[in-house]
Amino acid sequence: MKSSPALFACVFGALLWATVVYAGEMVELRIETVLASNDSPYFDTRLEDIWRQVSSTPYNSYRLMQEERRKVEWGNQVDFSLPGGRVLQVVPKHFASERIALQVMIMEGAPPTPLMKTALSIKNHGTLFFGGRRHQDGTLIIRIGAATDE
Amino acid sequence: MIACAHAQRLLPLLYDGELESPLRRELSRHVTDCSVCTRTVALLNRSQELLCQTIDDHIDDVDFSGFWQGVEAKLSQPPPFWRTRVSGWRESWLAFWSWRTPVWATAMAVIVLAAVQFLLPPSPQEQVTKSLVSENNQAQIESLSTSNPVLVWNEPTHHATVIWVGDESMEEQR
Ligand SMILES: [Zn+2]
Repeated sequence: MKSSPALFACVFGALLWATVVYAGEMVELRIETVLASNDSPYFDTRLEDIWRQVSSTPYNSYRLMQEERRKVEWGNQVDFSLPGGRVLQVVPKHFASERIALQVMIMEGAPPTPLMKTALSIKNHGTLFFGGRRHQDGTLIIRIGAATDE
Repeated sequence: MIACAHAQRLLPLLYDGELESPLRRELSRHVTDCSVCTRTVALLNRSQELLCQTIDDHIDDVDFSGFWQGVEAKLSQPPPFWRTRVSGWRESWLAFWSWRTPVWATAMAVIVLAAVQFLLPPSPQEQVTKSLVSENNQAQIESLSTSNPVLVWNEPTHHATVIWVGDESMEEQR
């Protein structure tokens, strides 16, 4: 999946068409996890569009570690596994004034305990970043995107 | 005894009444005995006179009609990107060193308090509730709780919000 984003996009597009009837009641969440570090300069070409956004962070190496998209119903909780045994919990709450309200919790440790919890809203098709957690010899930067056809 | 070169650097402060008593007395004594410093004080007097005269001459020509609109426009602008804020702090910090002791001591205390509030971990599960006015990509944060140091800023190009949850070493990195 990671090695073939184009194929993934096609498959995803087909799935999207297949579920178009339900599209209005669903929200698509997209989670991308980047490992930023000060290793030898490295830039993942898949990060083209994130780059302009994360370039304000003081690292010289950015690697895309994982990418995941899920379509969920409003009010349902989705758990995304993050590197280092962390868990990202997202609950899309509702859609109003062109904005998607989200409840986001990051858990870490064994067993995972809440590290940060926030309730916020982003515009439809907008993004939001979480960062700062150490992983290996770098820092994780997580981009959350949310979109709905409502 | 105060050296003339040192006295020259302190004269503007003496002139503005910003020196503490013992130093002020010592410097005043030096000025009365030193022709160079006496001349500098005379120059300061003269430039002050010229400045006041110029302001008086032009004050009536200044158009203040759009002044409050300008202030209001500034106030409604979103808060600056965090780096700008940090460099703002740094500049004001540097400026304080050239001020007299009580002023910068007080200001430093204020800055330290502000920094402590902004950077140090709040007590566990403390609720930090704020609502950021949204503009384009900016997130509207209703509530945020963590027991770790947290920074929130908007990245400069798309204004997407970045929530940085650091650990204890975050302050060392900064
Ligand atoms: Zn002198």
